[in-house]
Amino acid sequence: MAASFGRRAGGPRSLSRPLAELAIVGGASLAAIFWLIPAETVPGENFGLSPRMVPIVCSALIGGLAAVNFLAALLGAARRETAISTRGLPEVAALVAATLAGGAIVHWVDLVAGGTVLALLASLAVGERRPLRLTLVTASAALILFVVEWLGL
Amino acid sequence: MDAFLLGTLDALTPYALASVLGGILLGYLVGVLPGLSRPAALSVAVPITYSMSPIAAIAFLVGVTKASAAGGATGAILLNTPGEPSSAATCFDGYPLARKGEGTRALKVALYASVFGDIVATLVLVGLAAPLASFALKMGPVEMTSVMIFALTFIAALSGASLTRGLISGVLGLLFATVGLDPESATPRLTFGMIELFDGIPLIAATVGMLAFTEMLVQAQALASRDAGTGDRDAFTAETERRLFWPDIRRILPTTMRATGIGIAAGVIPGLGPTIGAFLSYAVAKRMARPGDVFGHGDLKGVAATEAADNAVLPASLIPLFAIGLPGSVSAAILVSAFMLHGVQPGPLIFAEHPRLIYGIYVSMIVASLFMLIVGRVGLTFFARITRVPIRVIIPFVVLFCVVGAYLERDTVFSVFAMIGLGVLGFLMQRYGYSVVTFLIGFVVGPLFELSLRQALIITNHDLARVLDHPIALGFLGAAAVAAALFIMPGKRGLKPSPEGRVSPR
Repeated sequence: MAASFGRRAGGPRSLSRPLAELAIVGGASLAAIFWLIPAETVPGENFGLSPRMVPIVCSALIGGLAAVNFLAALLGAARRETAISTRGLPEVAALVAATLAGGAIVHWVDLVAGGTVLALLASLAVGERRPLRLTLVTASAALILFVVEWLGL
Repeated sequence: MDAFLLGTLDALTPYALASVLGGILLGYLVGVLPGLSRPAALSVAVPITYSMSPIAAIAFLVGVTKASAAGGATGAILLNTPGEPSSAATCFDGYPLARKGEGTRALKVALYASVFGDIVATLVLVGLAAPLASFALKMGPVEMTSVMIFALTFIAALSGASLTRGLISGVLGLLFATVGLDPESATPRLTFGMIELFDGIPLIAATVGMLAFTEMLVQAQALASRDAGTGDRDAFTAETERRLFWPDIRRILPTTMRATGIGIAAGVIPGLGPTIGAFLSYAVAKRMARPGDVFGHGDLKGVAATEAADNAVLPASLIPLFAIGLPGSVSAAILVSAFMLHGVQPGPLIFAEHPRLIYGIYVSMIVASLFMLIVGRVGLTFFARITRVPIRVIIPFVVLFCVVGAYLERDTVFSVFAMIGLGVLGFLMQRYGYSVVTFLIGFVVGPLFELSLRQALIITNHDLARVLDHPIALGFLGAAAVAAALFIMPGKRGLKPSPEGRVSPR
């Protein structure tokens, strides 16, 4: 799954990343416990469990584990963190934008039109510029989507 | 004996055989395309069987169900796009195998493990339906909660390099699973006023988004980072070996047999289903890894573990259906409607009232397994060629399938946006070392865990001591405690991969 893509081995040990991680994950956990969950759930008096119970327990666990993760980094128990490359992120953003645009066209027009445009935009987002290949990808996508529609799936 | 012979003859008529083959072909199509889930395909297929004879109708539906389970592995292995949620776990090792030039071998293992799990589970159905069904009856909410706790302990085993980050991912999956209507009070929970979220976050959107779409984002970044001169074909290494050898089979056979047992258990226990069965089987296989195993980096054992379990679930889920009228999975529940459509009431009386039909169904299931082997074997030669397609062509089509799959699940564009959001989340999680695997385990197990927990609390009146009245639950809780201790203790958390991907004892 290429989880480690873009990492360089052996970066310097620094607490800035663990601290940022704690701030983001721990902060999100606290925001969920004190703001999100109370605002988005009803405090029901069920015979079993309150609707808030499981989400709050999960959020608290995440916050606690984030703290443990930070402590491990602080005590040097964690493995040395590696720097993460930012190369290629514009292409990732372009692919996400292309997919969002395709989804929007599916919503406003239909699946065939949205999917066909999506295939074209996604090809462009990953750097495909050859007219023949762009045409073939777009036409094939349209054909597949017509078949899906025709079968009533 | 007469009923057996007559049933066998019924199942071997050209009409019944053609029905099985038709079901297998339709099932493969459904399995390969993400978004067309097995229950949805069965629901569509049931009306088609109106005019068929009972044996042909059931044979057709059995073919659809079995082949969709086997076909789901194709996209999971070649494109990291699971055709079915239950095939999501196959991505973990299947796709890395395809990338390192072993796509055909992975497809073969998936097919053979699927057929093995399916046939063994069918034989268990034939021989042990009655005694295993009585076990299923003993699985109440307290027992189910303990089974779920046992399953959740495996998150620790699959956490990857960082235990705390793996656990955070798993708990985040549980948290995401709470979105929707509260199972007890039916009040909205974390839905932000969106009706589309009342049924929870769509499962296909989650699995396809976090596996396939995430992988395409990773590939897009990798493609952009490469030098312009390297071309765009190097996402997959060229295949040098497509055959399976006896040492390969001997190596994966114990895993396949164990996975089949887990799949049968997941099928017999109502509610667990193929997705949980496949994830659990993968977790157990990884936990029992030996030196030299490369789980997560492309190991044939990982593919065998998930596919054998996935395909063993359906025949096993028919055990409680035939014996006590209790469907063990969603697919089995839909099959009930097909039975009733043809004047057959599943339950203990079915063996006395329709013995000929039952034996005919048993034979049809075996025939379906054999057809599945033939169709799959022919098809994989064709499917494996996908790895030769340039990555700049693969990415647009996989993204298209992700969108189509998410859209078809609920026929709403909301699922598409949920898929995109979860894909981006998966990309960020992978980037910063958080496990997508444990997230999905938490997400898949979460709803059933919470429901069982709440029912158990009501049944026991919040008195934990009453668990002592449930010996099966105590057994699973004890096993969970032992497993958790083994996973969390330093030096005991499975086997650590070396930089080369090989696994060695820590």
